[in-house]
Amino acid sequence: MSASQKLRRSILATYQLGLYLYPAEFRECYAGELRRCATNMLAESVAPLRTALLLAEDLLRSLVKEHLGMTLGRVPQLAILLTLTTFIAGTGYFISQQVLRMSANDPQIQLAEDAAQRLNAGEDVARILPDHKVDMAASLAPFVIVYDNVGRPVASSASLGGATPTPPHGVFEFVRSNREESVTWQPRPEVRIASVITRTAGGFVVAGRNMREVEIREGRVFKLAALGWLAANLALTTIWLLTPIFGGAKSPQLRTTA
Amino acid sequence: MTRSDSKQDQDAGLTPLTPAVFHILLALAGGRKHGYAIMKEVAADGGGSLRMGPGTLYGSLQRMTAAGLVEEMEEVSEEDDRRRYYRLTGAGRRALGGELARLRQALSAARRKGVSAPARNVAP
Repeated sequence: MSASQKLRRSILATYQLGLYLYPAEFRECYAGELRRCATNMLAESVAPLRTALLLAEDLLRSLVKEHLGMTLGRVPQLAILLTLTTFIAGTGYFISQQVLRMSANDPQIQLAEDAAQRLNAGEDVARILPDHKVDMAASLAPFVIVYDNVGRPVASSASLGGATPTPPHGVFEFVRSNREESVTWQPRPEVRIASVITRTAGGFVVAGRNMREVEIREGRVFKLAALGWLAANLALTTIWLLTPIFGGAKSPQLRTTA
Repeated sequence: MTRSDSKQDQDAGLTPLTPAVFHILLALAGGRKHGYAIMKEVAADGGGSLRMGPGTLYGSLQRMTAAGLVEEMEEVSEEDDRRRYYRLTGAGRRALGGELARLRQALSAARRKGVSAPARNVAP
């Protein structure tokens, strides 16, 4: 076999491999004809390398066109898939966030209800407070504050900048008629408190805790949900793009006019 | 092809044709042909300046078949029964006529404005 024949065979073999990149539907229909045309072109060509360039350019151009034709018609399919993954990731994040938020109140519920019970039983206010003082901005420890009937602080195991903060007054009004409420309030920028407010015979008990750690966990859950969403979308988009090559998609009606 | 025929084809969305579709229709105007013969005819019609590769040809033939401009013949060739032959349909012939009329109008307009064609055809 001459060098020229070997070259022609190599070009044809490479071209045949390139045919596998066409959408399966197109490939199954026309691969034989494409191969036959390429064989004829190479057989009649006096410059096989130039013919190879022509074939390569034509292959690339028609690959883009055939795939684009199939891809555009299947965009709604991808849109539905991406909407589904967004909904699943969003719902997962929302549920996780709510579970974290709700469990953030667990110690405060117990503290507030116990303190209210003891105050209603006539125990001295000083005895129901935890022993050590809590800096609300720095510590994650739960604290208790007792307010009188008009919302003035009576005793507190916590302080913020040397003072005892007071929750928004509307909360006391609500608790006055509803006995108990869970509320997140921000006594100072960057300091958010998850608190449970309970009605007592002589006023209100607030048990609270800095939400810093809960918010850090929420941030982690958000990152995980976002990563899962991104990975799922990348995988789905890749599968969606490759489906025509492996024969999982049918071509739509295409344009013949400019 | 009359002006009203051309208008009818434009209304049907058949013109203007892409250069590839136009040249394939033109190649098939002389009778049925297989893919490689169409490629050679297109190259000859273009005076050597127009080259159409197999991918572009069969992609276009697929779309043209779907649009009813050409049809694949069921009969097989005597010299090579594996080849697939194509021929113009009535709609294909009308589309070609409509495109030629459109080009003739454009050429007349260019002549009226004193625009002259270049010495050699430019590949589409």
